[in-house]
Amino acid sequence: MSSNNYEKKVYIYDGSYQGLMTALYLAFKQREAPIKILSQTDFRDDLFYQTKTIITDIDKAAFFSEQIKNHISVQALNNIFHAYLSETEKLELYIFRYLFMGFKVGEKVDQYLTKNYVRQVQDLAHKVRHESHRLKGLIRLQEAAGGKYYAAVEPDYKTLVLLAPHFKNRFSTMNWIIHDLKREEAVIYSAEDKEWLLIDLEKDFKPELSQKETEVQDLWRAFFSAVSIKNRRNRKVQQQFMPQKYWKHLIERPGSSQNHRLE
Amino acid sequence: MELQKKLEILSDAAKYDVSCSSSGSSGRGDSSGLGNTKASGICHSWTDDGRCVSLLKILFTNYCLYDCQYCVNRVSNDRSRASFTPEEVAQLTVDFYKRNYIEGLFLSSAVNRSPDWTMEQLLTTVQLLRNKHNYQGYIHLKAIPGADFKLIYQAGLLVDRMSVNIELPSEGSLEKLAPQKKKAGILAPMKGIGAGIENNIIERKKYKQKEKFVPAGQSTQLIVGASPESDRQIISLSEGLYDHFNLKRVYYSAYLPVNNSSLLPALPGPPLKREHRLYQADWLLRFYGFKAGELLTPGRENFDLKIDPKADWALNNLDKFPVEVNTADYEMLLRVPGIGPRSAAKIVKARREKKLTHYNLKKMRIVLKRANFFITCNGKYAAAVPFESEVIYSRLAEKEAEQMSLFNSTKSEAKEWDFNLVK
Ligand code: SF4
Repeated sequence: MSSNNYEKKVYIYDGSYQGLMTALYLAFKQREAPIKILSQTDFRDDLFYQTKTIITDIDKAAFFSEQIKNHISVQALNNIFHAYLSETEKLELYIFRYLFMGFKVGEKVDQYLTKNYVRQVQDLAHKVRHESHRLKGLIRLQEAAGGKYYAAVEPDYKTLVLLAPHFKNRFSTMNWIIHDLKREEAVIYSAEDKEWLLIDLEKDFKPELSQKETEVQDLWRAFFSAVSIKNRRNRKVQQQFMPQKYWKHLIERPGSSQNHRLE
Repeated sequence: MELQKKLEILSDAAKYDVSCSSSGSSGRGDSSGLGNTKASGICHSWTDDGRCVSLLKILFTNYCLYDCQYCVNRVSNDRSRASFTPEEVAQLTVDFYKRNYIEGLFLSSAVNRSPDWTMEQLLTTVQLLRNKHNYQGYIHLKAIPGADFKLIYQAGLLVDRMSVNIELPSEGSLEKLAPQKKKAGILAPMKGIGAGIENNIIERKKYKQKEKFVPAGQSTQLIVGASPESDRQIISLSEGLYDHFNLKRVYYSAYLPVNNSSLLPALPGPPLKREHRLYQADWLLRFYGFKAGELLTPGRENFDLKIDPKADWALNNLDKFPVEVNTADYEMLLRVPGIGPRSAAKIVKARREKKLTHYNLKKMRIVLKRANFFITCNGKYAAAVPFESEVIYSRLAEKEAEQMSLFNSTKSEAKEWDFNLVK
């Protein structure tokens, strides 16, 4: 290995979005093209390259977001944020290159579909938005003892922060928790404060349900089976729109209309 | 009777009604109560037959005074019957809504005791929801033909959408297949609701505080294939409804034989293809500036099942084609098969800069597969076949057949996914 390599740097940030924005800000400011940008948890000791640990700076991150908005587009900023939520390997570098191009060509960056990194950022962002839209429908709240509502999810992507505003608008008079079991975090909303917060919440957390809850769940299952038209069964389409990976936390049982007889 | 049993009977009885596929936005929900209405429409589940579940779709009761031949709930049909109470429906709606099972309620009903009695029950239900439960989610309510319009109007001030199902596309068929309903009058309440919506819009401009009346509009459903009307009669009726009664949507439902009645035709299966063509034609009326009288003319009573109504129209008006994309006006571009509003707008914009060639159109990501037969660019015609009606017809029919086989499994449900497909 030549000393040349040693000049190339690996940026290490704390894994947060602000952290990533800080890292990107510094790279652009110092005209440095990092060889990798990694979150602490993904970082394994690296013998070949020099490492640079980024200290998250909220002001710098905010400033940089403004720059992106003004010099590229709001759309680009959204794409970056949503792509970040995909937690996919190498996404930081795709974003870096996307921005590099963005600062050169402005809002037209999203038209450069022949560039791999532009496509990657857009695709990842799209996947995250798509899952978030799906979950707006598929999340199932359950009434816990004490009148709070609780939902468990295991999304592919880190979508809670995209879901929170939607559920805040819809269930503004209820107290609720949406719990991402995979990432062991949760959005918790209080009707009194009208605010939501992202908190850590261990996987095993499970509230006790209210007495009425099973009754309502039975009613929903009954409704779900009853509304399927038997001679038009089409499980393929059902699965296409509601993939099996989400069934675990549904209340209804896809396929259950088969055994349903009214008379 | 147990609530669950009622729910099974009364959701089963409502499931054939398609006139509620999306919940429109009406800007309810100010965070002081439960829920809001979303413009994009959200599916909360998919049934085993692949349809989107968005609303709690139920009948208030399926006890019916009437004997409409095409309906499973008609009085002479032997089947399980049930009725909800207003509070049961309200509570069920709120319970489901709070758990994020549904976007809202779609409440319809058979006519029990009298039209007024039934309408009163529906009105009480929505009053409970809005006032007692402080529910601000979506409500689509059926208006009962023959009920006092005062009741209908009061309900209209509380719900988002209302509908009266015409069901049969002509007076004659109504007379024959649904005589009691015909007497009760279907068009009268539709006209009243239409006028109510129009006045309300004017009044709300004047007085900001004025309550909203049916803010998400009114719709209706027509059954296709249970009676002998032609496609031409059906789309003329739809056009009349859009023009005169302020309708937001007309839904078409392929007749699914549910009863044995000597008055009904024996069909091999529901005429789904025909239903699909009617939806396409309906689209042309609403967004493409076509008149019903252009799409079908006396003597040409039904749509071609092999090609879509727009292509059909173009082939019957071949003298208007090919269209020169560099000079044709926007309205004419819109009439080219394969060119939609977005492509037409793109063309109009781009040709200000330079004369367009086929290559330019492709670069602009305008799909020329079908349009090619009907356009020239700078006088150049690029379809590899002669400009003759029969040749183009068979090419288009082939392309459509290919596409249909690709989407075969989903086509009959397409109508109910409108809001998912139209992003
Ligand atoms: S009025 Fe006619 S269509 Fe309506 S439920 Fe009764 S029988 Fe059926």
